[in-house]
Amino acid sequence: MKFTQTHRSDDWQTRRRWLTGAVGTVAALGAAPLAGAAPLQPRKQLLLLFLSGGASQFETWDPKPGAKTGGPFRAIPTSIPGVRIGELLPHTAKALHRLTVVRSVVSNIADHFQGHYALQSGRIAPGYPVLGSAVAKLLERPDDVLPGYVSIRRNGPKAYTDVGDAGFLGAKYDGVKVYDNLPPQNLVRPAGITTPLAESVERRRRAADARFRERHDNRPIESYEATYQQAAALMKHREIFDLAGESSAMHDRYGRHEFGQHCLQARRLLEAGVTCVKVTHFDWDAHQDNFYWHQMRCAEFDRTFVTLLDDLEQRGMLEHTLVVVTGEMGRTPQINNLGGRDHWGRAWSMAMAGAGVKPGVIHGATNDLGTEVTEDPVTHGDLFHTYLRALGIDSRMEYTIGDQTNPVADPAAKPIEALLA
Amino acid sequence: MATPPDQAKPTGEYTVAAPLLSCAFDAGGRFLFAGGRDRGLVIVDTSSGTQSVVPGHDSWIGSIVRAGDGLVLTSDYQGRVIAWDCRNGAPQPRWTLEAHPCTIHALSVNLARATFASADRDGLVRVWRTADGSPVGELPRLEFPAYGVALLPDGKQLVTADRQPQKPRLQIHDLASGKVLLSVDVPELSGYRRVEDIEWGGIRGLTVSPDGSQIVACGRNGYDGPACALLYETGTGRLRQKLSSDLKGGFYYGARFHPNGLLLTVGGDLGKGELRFWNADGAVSKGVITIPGPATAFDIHPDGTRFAVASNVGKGSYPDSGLITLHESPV
Repeated sequence: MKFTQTHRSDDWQTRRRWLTGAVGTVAALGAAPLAGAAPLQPRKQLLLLFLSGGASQFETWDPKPGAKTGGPFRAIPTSIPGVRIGELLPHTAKALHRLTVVRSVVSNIADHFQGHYALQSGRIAPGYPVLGSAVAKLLERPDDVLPGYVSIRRNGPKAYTDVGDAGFLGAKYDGVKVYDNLPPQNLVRPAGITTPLAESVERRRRAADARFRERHDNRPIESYEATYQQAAALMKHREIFDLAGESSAMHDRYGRHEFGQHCLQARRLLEAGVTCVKVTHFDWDAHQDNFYWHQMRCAEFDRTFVTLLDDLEQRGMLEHTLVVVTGEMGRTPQINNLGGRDHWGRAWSMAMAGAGVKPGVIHGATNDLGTEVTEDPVTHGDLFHTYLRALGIDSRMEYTIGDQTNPVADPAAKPIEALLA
Repeated sequence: MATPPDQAKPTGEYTVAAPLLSCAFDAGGRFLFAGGRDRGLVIVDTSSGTQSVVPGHDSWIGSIVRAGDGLVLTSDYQGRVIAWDCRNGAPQPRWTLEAHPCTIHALSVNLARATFASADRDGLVRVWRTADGSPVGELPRLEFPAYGVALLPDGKQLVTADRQPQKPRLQIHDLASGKVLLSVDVPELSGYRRVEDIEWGGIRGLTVSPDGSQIVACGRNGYDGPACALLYETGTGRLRQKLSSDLKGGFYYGARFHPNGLLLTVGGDLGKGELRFWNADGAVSKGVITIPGPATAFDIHPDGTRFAVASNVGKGSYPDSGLITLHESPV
């Protein structure tokens, strides 16, 4: 296995072959009647760009210029004739034909904690795995080395950002957290621990595990073992976190700001084979001065997002990577006394691009004031089904954990067929 | 004072469809211009009491200032400035200028030099001739959005208020060279609340004294408030006085020096606003006129005998209309 810090075509082919594990091969051959004629298909991957706090649909995907609720900004033409988005996203506007935009999300959740969980798990009921964990599990391959799910974010104090985890799937599928683009702690073995000593400790650990398995329920120790193996893999391949391997020009393209650098890291991790990466973009919770904050946040998001799409496409990754842009809620049509917009779950927007979704689709609509969905309402459960289907996962499947089964997605919801490629 | 401010009653009230952000009298004092979260410019003929809404802007009208030569300048969130000529009856546009590619947050006029300055959300500050809107110059782009601008009386310098994160900043610029002569961080007017993990605040109003020796920056002190204004020495950047409202929430949105030497501030929160009078150095509050809602802008009539206050009305935390009140000056 080879991990590359810079993209070269020979390394890339090596890595693509590595990414193409047994399951992918079987699936590809199974889909092609002429065995051997079909090229090997890379595994599907997920990149979740989470706009934490809740971006305003009015200032992004569903502008209402001139309406009492519309705010001061313009709507600008896009690469889809007749479709306009907010003027704060000029680069995205030129790339809109590559996106799938949903303007009719009805989550009815106006709380950060509930929203973070529901928009990532597709449910209200607690205990279910979030999207990254679920996809890490459902696209897992026997020869996976790296963690299936990595979450990149600022090391800030916001409590609700980390709401949701692997739930009943267990610690193995929890997201490995990367704060401020720093590698997880303790990836380098302390100088005082020699190789013989480390090997001795490892033998003792395995022996202890074996004894435990003989007498107790295996599941906790298996989770522990999986986590240990993931940690060992990260120690071995810690260079994947080293952004110094990227050119100065690449840093500039993504933007030197926090979100830009986090997205660059995300691309590196996806390229290295991590199945799901989540990047949290902060400071969208604009209860005060909404238009200032959206100017600032959109400026970061807009250029970086399009750079990311371009980069993934140029590397041949976009075709097998689903990129999801969402937050936990939208923002109120009404503008408050401090020039802010508050929490709103009744009619808001999100976007997708890449694997499994139709490009250039604008799905659903809201009324003139943006207060209600008027066409094709979509729930967070529907979105969850859609993400899975776009990644080639049958969202009607069930998890089997011990003696229990659980639907991977809320049976009361359904995929949005109109969006699926 | 002729009448204690606390006992002063409005002499006129005008309800406006949208919440207000700005207002100003014309040079003759007959027309009052007001604008806000709407494309329509409100013009009140104070002699007849009639109110009209005129088109011209395509976005919110954020700033209105009285300029020389019978002009009133209005600017919007899409970068347009319109000069309204008030010399011959009903105001008419004299010129329209696409001054910036984005939101203009502030205008400032230098009457003696017949120039005005505009400041935008991308940190661009430009200076123009009032008569025809022709360009005079442009400062090197600020690193942060410009929320306030004020031309100093000498015509050689200009003050900006920017939105540097956590430390909004006052800067004095030399117009000839574009150099920053003085930079003062104003962290007092920024706030942080852990729940949102987002910074609140900023400098919401900026003015300079008639002699140019003092700068007033308005806003809110920290997250919890109160609304306050900070008085600085122009030459040194030294903080001379902190003027705090009795109102716990809200902001001070504007300040003006009255010809008689008093300093006036306006602000508030929904359901509670004020126009407050301070002595010249801001050390003592001389009285307050209570306004029904947050006072987001005000102007002193050219003859100094009246005020116009623009405020907002609504339910809960959502203003849905504006209110203009006229007051006889109690000072």
